[in-house]
Amino acid sequence: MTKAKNLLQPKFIVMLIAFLFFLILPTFIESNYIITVLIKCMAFAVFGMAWNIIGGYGAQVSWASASFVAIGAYTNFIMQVELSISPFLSIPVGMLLSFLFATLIGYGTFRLRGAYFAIATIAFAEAFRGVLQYFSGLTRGSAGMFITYRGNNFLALSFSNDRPFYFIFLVLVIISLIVSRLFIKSKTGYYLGCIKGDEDAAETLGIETFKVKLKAFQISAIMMSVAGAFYASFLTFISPISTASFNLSVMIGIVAIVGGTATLWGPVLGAFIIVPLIELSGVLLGAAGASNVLYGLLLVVMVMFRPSGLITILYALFDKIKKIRDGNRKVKVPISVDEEDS
Amino acid sequence: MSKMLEVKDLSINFGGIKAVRDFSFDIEEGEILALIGPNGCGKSTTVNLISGVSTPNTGTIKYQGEFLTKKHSIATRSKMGIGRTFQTPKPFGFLSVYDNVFSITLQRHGFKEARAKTNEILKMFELDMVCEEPSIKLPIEKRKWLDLARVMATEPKLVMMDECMAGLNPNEMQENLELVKRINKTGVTILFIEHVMRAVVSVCTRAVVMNEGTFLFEGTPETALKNADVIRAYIGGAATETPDESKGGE
Repeated sequence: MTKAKNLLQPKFIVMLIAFLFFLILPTFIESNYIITVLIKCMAFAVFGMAWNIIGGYGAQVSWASASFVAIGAYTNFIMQVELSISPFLSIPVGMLLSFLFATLIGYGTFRLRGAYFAIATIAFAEAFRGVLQYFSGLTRGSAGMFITYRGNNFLALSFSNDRPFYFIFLVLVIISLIVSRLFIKSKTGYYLGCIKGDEDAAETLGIETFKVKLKAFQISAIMMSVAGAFYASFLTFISPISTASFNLSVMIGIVAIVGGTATLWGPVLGAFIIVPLIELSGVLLGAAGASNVLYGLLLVVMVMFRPSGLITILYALFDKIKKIRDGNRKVKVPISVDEEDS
Repeated sequence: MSKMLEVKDLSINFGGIKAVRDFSFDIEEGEILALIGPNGCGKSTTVNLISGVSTPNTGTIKYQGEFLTKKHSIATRSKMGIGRTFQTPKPFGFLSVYDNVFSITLQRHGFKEARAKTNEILKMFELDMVCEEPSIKLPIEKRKWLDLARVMATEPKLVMMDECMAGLNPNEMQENLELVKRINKTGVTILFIEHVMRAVVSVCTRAVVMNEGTFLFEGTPETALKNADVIRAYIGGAATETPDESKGGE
């Protein structure tokens, strides 16, 4: 009874409608370009959710997101080009690598408070990009790597058009939502919330802040590399500039911040706002640096007017709907109480 | 009764300042011990040393027969049963009051038991009415209670209360004192760090007075208030004559 009631909440209805909408959306879209933009939106939604695990729920801002995307992307491409191994087999390798690198960064910085972690992630990300360019025997250096079309093959993630990727990323978004939800409702999630609230207090109350932060960062990095691997297969071309740059890390952070940090749906909303905006700015403003101006402007505006993110506007709206619904119900309160008792 | 905590010759320097020097005292199991002294005498530093925030230069801390060393991190000490509150309460920001306590109970229990335990604690601290409020929106006295509630959620054996009366009006103070007594009755040993003498006199059986980082006096709170050295430390100057008159400090 209560479960059925939960499913009738406006939140779930909206979720269901949104899912069905996105499921049938491609059938109405002719243009391949629009499809690629939508795929990009969903990819960044996943990146944003991964960032949110440590940056939002833990308030430990990471600017090394791109490195983990690159780890996923390059493991996928190197193993596919050199050894012709399916991405589905190289993804676990990428997960392991990003886990190890996250541990490395976290181990050195999570004992410290304040900006050290954020600074270390920037340093790591830049060094990692350098490494990708230096070992050009394996990574083709700054020239980048590409994979060629080898017929419709799901296991190789090679398709004649981009539409299959649309559904792949739709599934990824749903998985990421579920993972995020499970994470925040786990013990680690609760502890991370305490650390965000007050790290000193959390520690004196028995929470091992170092371990909790490290775990969250590892999860975030793993999610990032999985999404990175699929994203690379979708792009078919990767280079240190496109997948490992500071620019990409910033964009991932902005997606989550504009949408709403530490909220489940914030990064999704953020991605569907930021990605189209950047596509538009590329067309309208024409310059390559236009997106940088946009990031700056958006950040300033967001911090000034809605630091909690745009999603909170929607949440407030849901609350209002709920209130109106409950208000209507209040008239017959005695009856409903009797019903529940019996 | 056995000793809950034995502190011996504790010293710590911050640069050239000796915040605590050769300070020794102990706490019996189950008692409420007051640690008093004028501002800046090292009370909070002592609490920090016991809870593991800072490491002493010399001296030992023995808790339930075990020496606490650098290896015992702050979190480990909490898990061993040493709890503390802060002078300024530190609620977990926008987390709800319920989640503030629930997150901590989760450390010792599964989700289902933790929920029951949380409700129990919230009721004990009369926070159940505001359990859905973000903790940052609580007024000061409720924040202090929330701090205590969270400490109780760690199921401590020793709680150090750092000035939990500061900033409360007489009514709130009375309620708070009742609460402290109730916590003590559940078998928790309490180290009560306080300025408000009336509070100390009404709940504590024994008082240790600190001055300038070191031990000054030990006895019942009443005798402490009458002791000439203690009065001099608090008021300054040579107040050696009639101790009865100088009780104004309360």
